[in-house]
Amino acid sequence: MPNADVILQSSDLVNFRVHSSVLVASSPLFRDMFTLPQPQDGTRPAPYELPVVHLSEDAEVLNSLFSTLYPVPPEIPHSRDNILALLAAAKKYDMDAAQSAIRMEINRKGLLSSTNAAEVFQVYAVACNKGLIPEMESSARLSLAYPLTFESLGDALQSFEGWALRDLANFRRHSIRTFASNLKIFLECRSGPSKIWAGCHGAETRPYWLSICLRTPNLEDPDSFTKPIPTTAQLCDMYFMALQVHIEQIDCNSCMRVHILRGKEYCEKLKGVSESAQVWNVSTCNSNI
Amino acid sequence: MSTVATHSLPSRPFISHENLLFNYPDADVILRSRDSHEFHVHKIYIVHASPILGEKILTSPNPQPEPTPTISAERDVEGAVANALCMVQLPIEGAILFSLLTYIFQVPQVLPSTVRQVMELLSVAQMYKMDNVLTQIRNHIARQEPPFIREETAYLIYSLSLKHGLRTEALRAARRTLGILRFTINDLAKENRLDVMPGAFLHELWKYHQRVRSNLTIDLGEFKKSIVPTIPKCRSPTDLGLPCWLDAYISDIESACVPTLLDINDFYNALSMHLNEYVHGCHSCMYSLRSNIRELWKALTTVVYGSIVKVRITFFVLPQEPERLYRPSQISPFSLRGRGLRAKPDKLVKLPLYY
Repeated sequence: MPNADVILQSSDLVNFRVHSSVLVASSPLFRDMFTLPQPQDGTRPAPYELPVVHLSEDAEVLNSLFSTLYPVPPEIPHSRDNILALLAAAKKYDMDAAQSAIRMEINRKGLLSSTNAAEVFQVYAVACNKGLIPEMESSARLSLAYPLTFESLGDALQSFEGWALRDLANFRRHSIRTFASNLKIFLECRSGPSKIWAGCHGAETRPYWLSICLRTPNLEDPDSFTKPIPTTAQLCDMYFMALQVHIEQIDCNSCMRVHILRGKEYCEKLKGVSESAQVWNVSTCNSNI
Repeated sequence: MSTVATHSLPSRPFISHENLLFNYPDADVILRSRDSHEFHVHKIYIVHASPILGEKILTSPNPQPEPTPTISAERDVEGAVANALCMVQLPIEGAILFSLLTYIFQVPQVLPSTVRQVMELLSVAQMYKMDNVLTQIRNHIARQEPPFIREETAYLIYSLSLKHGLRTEALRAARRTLGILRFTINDLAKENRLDVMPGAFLHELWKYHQRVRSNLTIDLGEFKKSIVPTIPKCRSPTDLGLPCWLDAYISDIESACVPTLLDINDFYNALSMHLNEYVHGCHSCMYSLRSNIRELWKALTTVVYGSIVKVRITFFVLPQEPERLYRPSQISPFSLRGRGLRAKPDKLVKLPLYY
């Protein structure tokens, strides 16, 4: 940068010539640092030399961090690990505005979302280690779609602190309990949204096909927290497929008619059941530990 | 009180486990623990037990006696002696150092009271390369009743062993976990053991369990093939030619929850059930196999235990100060070279690792 007055050196020895005023404006920590009195000894640099501050982040992370401080397009790293390292750096230097900008960019591009279980667990573990609460919470919720098993965790387990795994297990217990109880209410034919199927042939409490396709997790099963919670899309798929089989098998006009008239509305409500499991936070579930 | 150790054997020390007191009247060095307990001992024993600690003691500066121009003559002498002893500061907790000294000197050996302290004692003995002491401690541990490595302690000992780099204990503890339960996240959660160790250690333990099972499958498969020629033809053989009850029994071991607990009674039960399947029994299993069933059992258990013993733990070192362990609101160490500025000390505090 022209007219730079300080050099920030990355852990891999890349120098960034930046303006202390920009750092001071964006980080209380740098503000404190630059306003501390300077000792009058031999360590003071010559007037033509810029002071050098050594930072523990690597060049890619620092480059991204500075891109969020200057009026240039933010450069977010490619790898998930470096994205989290960037957020951790912004947090470490108390750069609130930079954190918001980075998170906005991450959410806009969906950079931390993944359809791979090990990647989701990895983001959770690293976010826990770095104290990145929003990322920890969002990845914990994403992880509900996957089983919590050694196979599913894979090498991501190596990044976990013991407490992070325990907290995730507690969070999942709360979530699956909420999901199971909401699904049970939802499937009640007499009072819940599923009463629209009450006309189905042979349905006493709820249509048989619906009970089979949307099986409520057994809360007596201590293993339940390790099992995945169906996503909204998966729940709707299960509903459609079961209905199709049911209609093909017994030619149920009642269910066919209900589906045509109110199937879409029913699906929307069904999505709410899956979303209801997402109300918990890892932090609140483990606040008493 | 004599000022110089004149005998080859030291005088009897004053020892008190409760007060962490370990004082030889004619000591020539003071070992000072991390928590400021002082132990007056003889250099020669320490030097003999540990070359590393010995060098540390021998190279530590020997202070000159200070003149003590006060009060009585007797106290003057004592004061001079105390001042003349060189003091060596050690990064070891008092209780651990006390226990360590009981294995070096000819006094009743004392193991620390908690699992963590025992593991730290082993770690210290290993760190100072005290091979004989390490053997003595291990022998002492082996005599403990109830056993030191048991169901309740196996996971903690495994974790601490990896942390301290104690291979022997890590492997023994890992083997003990084989006999506890099927190794799943759910089982660990039921026992409140999810947070007993870092994920990296848990991952290695899971891999260890997997390696044991996979080894067991291979070795038992080969064992089945190897015994076919020696087993008489059964009335209901498998494709391989083994009696089906024996094949089923061996397959059960492969998939068993606890592959380490083999009971000969179960083996006999399996045979008895097979014999009862037929009105006149299975002639070959009843007469021919019965005669060498002990040998067969012995061979089977040798294969199973041999298969487990072959599997090792992979050791690795967790980074001591990874950046992720800094509290995010705290700044990591960086200097302000050039400006001569320093970060505030309270910003440099690191979080403890796991323990």
